[in-house]
Amino acid sequence: MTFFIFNLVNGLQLSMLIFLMAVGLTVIFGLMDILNLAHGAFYMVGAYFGYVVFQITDSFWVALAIGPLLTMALGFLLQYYVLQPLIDRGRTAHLDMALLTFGLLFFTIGLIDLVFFETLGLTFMSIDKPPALAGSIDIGIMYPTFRIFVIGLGLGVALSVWLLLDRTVIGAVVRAGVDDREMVRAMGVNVYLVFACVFALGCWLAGLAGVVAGTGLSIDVNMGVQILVPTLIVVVLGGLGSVKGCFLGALIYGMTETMAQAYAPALSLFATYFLLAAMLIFRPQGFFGRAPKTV
Amino acid sequence: MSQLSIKDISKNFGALNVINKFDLDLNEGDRHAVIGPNGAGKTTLFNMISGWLPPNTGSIQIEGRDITGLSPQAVTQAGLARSFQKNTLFDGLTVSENLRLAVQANSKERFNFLRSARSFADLQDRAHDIADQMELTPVFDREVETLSYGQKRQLEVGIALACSPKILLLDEPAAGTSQAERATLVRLLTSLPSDVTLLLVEHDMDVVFGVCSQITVLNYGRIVASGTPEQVRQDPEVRAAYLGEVTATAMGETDA
Amino acid sequence: MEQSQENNHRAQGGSDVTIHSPIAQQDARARKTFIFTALAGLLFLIALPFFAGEYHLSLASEILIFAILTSGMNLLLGYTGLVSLGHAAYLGVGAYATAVGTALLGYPVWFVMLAATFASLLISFGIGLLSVRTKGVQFLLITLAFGQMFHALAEKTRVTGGDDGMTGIPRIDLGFLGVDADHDQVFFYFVLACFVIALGFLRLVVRSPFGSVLVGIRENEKRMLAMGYSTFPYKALAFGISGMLAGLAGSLWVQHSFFVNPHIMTWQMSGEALLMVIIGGSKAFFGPLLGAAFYVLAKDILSDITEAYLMFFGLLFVLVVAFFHGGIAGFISQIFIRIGRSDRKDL
Repeated sequence: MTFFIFNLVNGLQLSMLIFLMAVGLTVIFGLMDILNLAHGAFYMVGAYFGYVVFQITDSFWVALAIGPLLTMALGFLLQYYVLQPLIDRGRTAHLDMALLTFGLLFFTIGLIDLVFFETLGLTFMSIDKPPALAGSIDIGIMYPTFRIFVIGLGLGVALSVWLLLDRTVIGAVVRAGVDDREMVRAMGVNVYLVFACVFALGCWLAGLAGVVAGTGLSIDVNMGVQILVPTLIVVVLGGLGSVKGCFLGALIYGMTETMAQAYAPALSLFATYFLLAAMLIFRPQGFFGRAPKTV
Repeated sequence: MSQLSIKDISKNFGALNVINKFDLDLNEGDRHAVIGPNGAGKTTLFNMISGWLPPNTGSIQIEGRDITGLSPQAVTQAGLARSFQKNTLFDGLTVSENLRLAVQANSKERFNFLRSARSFADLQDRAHDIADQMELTPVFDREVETLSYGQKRQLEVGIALACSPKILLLDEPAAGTSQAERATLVRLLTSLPSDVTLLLVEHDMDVVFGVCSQITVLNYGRIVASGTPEQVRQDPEVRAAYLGEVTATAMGETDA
Repeated sequence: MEQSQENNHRAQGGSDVTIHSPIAQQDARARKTFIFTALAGLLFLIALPFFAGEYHLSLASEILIFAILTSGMNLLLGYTGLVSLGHAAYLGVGAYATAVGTALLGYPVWFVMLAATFASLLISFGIGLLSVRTKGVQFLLITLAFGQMFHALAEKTRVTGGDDGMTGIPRIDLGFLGVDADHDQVFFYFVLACFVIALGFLRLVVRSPFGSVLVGIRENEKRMLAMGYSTFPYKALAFGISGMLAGLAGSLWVQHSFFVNPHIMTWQMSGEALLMVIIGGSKAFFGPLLGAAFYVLAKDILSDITEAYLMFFGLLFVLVVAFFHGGIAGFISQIFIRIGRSDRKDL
């Protein structure tokens, strides 16, 4: 029973981490039709930068606060000054944008490798958990406090994003934009600014996930790539563009992955890819995405 | 039996009824036009006939064979080819390549993966014939994106014709064309082989009257009138649908 | 009737019009350029072992092996318009099938090579049947998913060495020709022969009616459907052929390096293959070959300076996707156009 609860909560924690990554990606896709494969790069950059801040300030909390700000700024600049102009030029199709961000991912991996590994010679890096969260807490079983924190963070973000999209004017604009881009543009809204801000928010979330993932676990150049596939799985399961689908997808993914690893390890590597393939074959729009056009 | 038999076709999008109990029977060689104000449902009708949209009720048959709900490629293979209102061409390829692909579609060589495509002289020749028919020979080897809009519309018809259909569905072939281009189109359409059945959706009355002997008028998804151009001209409901004066001019009544 | 008279005239001199029209002349010139380039390249490669050292010959073999992979991928990408991020899977199928068949089961290499290539064809065709129901971004993701599954399979299967992979894979026995493929020069010629066969086959496919249908699907799939083509089997077959060639490449790779491990099926590998295709130029027949050459050589040169070659390739990839759609091949043909010869885009 303990084993079960332990894995259940683990699954929840994994779900929340992936949710932080996926929600940004799905809203970016829903709004701008860009599949940002560089999302993994922002996650990685968040972790590395968080580490740098941690080394300077020796505080997890400061790293958590400041780390994502860098990824947010980078994301804003990238979207506003590079991606959007390329789209506007008209010669870059949406699939090209996915490929382009893919190239950026590879570029970032190489750059981080060059700076941290080759130049600075750092191999094992990690952010230390803050004393307040370093212990264990009794939730029926003894469970690491930090992971509870991650779950809380994820739920908090989910709630905030939902409130933002559902209850604010800017959220309404974003939802309208996901539904009908041209119309929003015609209404005189500066869509470019909205796009850039949404993109930046997505990158902020990715950076946040990166700092959190880099705490207590090792930070390395492969982490951006490793997180990307689960993120894409969740986004597809939920439906490109849907936040609640993303949450559901994240839960399904996290639980499937963790439970499979715990109870049927041989299956675990297939279970989630199988889910992805099945979804793409039978219901390509995911749980809550828009149905594919007939023509 | 009639060549194309459409019975009781309807289409609803949720609570919105777009086509309501549409019937039409065409015999071989008929030249029939479907006209109506914007939003009357003409393109939806065409999409249902050609397999892009399944109807909610009713049936469509070609020479007795049921094609209701079949995929677009199956409908074409059954003998019904269509052109589109917006040019749906291979812009980066030449006119010759566009036509050859169309001609190749019902050739048994289309799966051949070892012989050079250009070596099939009969396909090339047929592509040339269609180009001649569509007065596109001068631009046969030019890329489509370099063609004039009118020439592209001609190619759009040519591609449908190249599929050797029994029935040709043309969706607003004259859309966006100039007067001269329209005249060319009328000339081309009237010289189509007499064994090809033509069903046209059009806004331009010159084209309709120049090419077709029978007209069906559609408004809000249902048939308002059907018959010869004369009969349709006189029908009061038709005139009301097209809003008075404008109608009278369009129907050619105000000329002396 | 006028029509039939013209028909008769044309029936007699059937392709007369096609030979003498300006575009046909351009076509003929393009063909001559192609044949000339291909022959010149082939002669260069045949002569290579006489002046290149062992190390560079090994690089050359690598280039040709990757070129088989990338040229096959381009049938799907450049010609049909489908971008796959999971083709390393079929590279792996060919590699592992060869490793298992020779090192574990002891069958002769030539037989195993054929079996491995055939296995790749079947498996990729099967996956193609499932995958080509989607397109664009969804197709990208589903190929990624299947690629990951194969990678996971390779990592978990103990019989093939799991994460460590397998070593001691033999090369093909060319004893009947009196030569030993363990010598890199001999092996290079073997790889060259496979390369010529593979690309020759691709050339036939690309110029065939089947190939023209693929181009039509890429240009306007809706129009193809409206013309009466069932586009589905074509796309699945293109997927299968590209997977088959990836399998052949995998089989050669494993003989070239004498070992195999799951890394050959990672999506980084798929990504690097994609990099090669696009940087080389997906719109030209020899673009993927140029991409493979560029990748192998640049990586070799760069590794003296830095391990972070991905940075360089990633950036170049971004630039090509954003600004130079034609890649290296496109760049080269632009130069030729400026010199005065016109090379019509090879379809």
